Amino acid sequence: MMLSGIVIGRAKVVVGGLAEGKALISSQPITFFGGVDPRTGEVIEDGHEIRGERLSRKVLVFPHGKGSTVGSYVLYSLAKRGVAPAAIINARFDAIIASGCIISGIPLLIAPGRSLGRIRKGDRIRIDGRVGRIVVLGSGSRTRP
Amino acid sequence: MNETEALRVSALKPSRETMRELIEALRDGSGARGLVAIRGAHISGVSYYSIGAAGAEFLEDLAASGVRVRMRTTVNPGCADVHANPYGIDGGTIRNQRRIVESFRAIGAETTLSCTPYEGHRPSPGEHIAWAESSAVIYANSMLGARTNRESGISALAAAVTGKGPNYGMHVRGNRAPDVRVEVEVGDIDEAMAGALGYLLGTRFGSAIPFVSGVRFREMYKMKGLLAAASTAGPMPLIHVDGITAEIEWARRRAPEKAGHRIGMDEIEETREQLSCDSSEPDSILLGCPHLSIEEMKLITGMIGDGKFDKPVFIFTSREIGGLAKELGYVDVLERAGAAIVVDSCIMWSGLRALGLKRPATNSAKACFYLRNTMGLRPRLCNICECLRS
Repeated sequence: MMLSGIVIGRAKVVVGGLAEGKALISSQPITFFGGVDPRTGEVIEDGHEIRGERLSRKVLVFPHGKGSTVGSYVLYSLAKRGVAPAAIINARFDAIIASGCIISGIPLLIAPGRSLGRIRKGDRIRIDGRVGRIVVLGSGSRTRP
Repeated sequence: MNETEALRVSALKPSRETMRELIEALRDGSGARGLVAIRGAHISGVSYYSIGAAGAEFLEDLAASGVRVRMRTTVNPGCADVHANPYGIDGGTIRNQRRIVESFRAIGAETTLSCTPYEGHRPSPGEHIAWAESSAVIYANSMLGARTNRESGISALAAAVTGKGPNYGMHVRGNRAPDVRVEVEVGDIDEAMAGALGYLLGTRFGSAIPFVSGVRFREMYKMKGLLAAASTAGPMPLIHVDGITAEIEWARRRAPEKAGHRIGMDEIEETREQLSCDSSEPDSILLGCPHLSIEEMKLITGMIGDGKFDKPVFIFTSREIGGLAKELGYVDVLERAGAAIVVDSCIMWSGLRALGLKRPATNSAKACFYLRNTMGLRPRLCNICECLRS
């Protein structure tokens, strides 16, 4: 690829694949079961910091999952409807998120918190899930070159 | 949606290969020592109220791939007995519940629809199994000496179709040794208090494995209630109880020498009071969390005699135990007294709430916790005898 960008770090690959999308960041854990509408991908958990956001085609960055193990199926439902995140980056391995991403074909990386701290909301992110590379192509305020 | 995404979505077809990838990811993520051959599986996430349309869709897609389980596989309760539909749940929900059960049947699982998979066929000591349903996990590890972590519905399903699971946690013998020694200083307590004791152990020791001495009772149904409550309160997968559990001789040699913790009657009573709403008259009786065994059905039948209930009574068990109880004449006695025997479903993940019960009495500490915290009811925790007299 000829596109320039800042490589912000290497990550552990749980589910491989290539993806690109705008970063959506939550410092709070996410429960997909009960916390995300399985048909639209809208965050619906009361009081959640990204409540009202839509996950569709975003590179979703959050520390780890929480809540019911049924959350894996919600990711599957989103993927079937084409409204799943383009990729997920977590700080910690979580069996619910990992299971959901595997059955749904959503690239999933685990990156250290200090790398995640360099991603800003709206940044255009490219994930290379073959080697675990995260690249910031452009910040949220600028358009893509 | 661009072309690549459209391709990916249409290519979403879960298969045995998907499930193998899942097991490998869980192995890597858990830091397991490779994989272990699994001999039996029990799957949770069966009620339509629990997994919803998303789960039903996944199970249907997986079944359509033609994948079959490679071992004896049982499943947790659904939201209702779809044949009798005793609480009059809407037709749409019943149809979806049926789709879920059919998918499990298609992949070769036994649709037992019960939370007590140890009733039909007991895994042997040391056998590696992949069970979801926390109360069954702690029972298998503690009472049977079988080896299972607390699986999710989907990880148990993946083990069932691949024959393998990540080798960590409870599968590794060394991890099953007691971490703490607890001396319980009480006499012969009833099952409600045994449940409160379990809840207290689960709350206090989290994922640590206790070696508990001083328990005087020997009835299996009291142990079942104690273990179910412990696994409700926290992630605890195993409790060694002196004189009762499967690996006790082995565990005793590895337990810390001095009892670092003591639990007395006052603390257990305090826990029972926290779980229970004792203030007002119960409006119903709910028994069978976990599902009643045939011994418990017999016990309840014996207590009733010629009596009749003045409030709704629901008794939850498996279809298999229910059938046996019918043959033995227990069901006739219970139904004559006004009780309803409910099969294929569960107090928590069922349509029970549609009946508008507010203050059920139950002998299950686990049920009390969920009735109170997730269903917003005001349950009373008391022993079977007190429940039936309430």
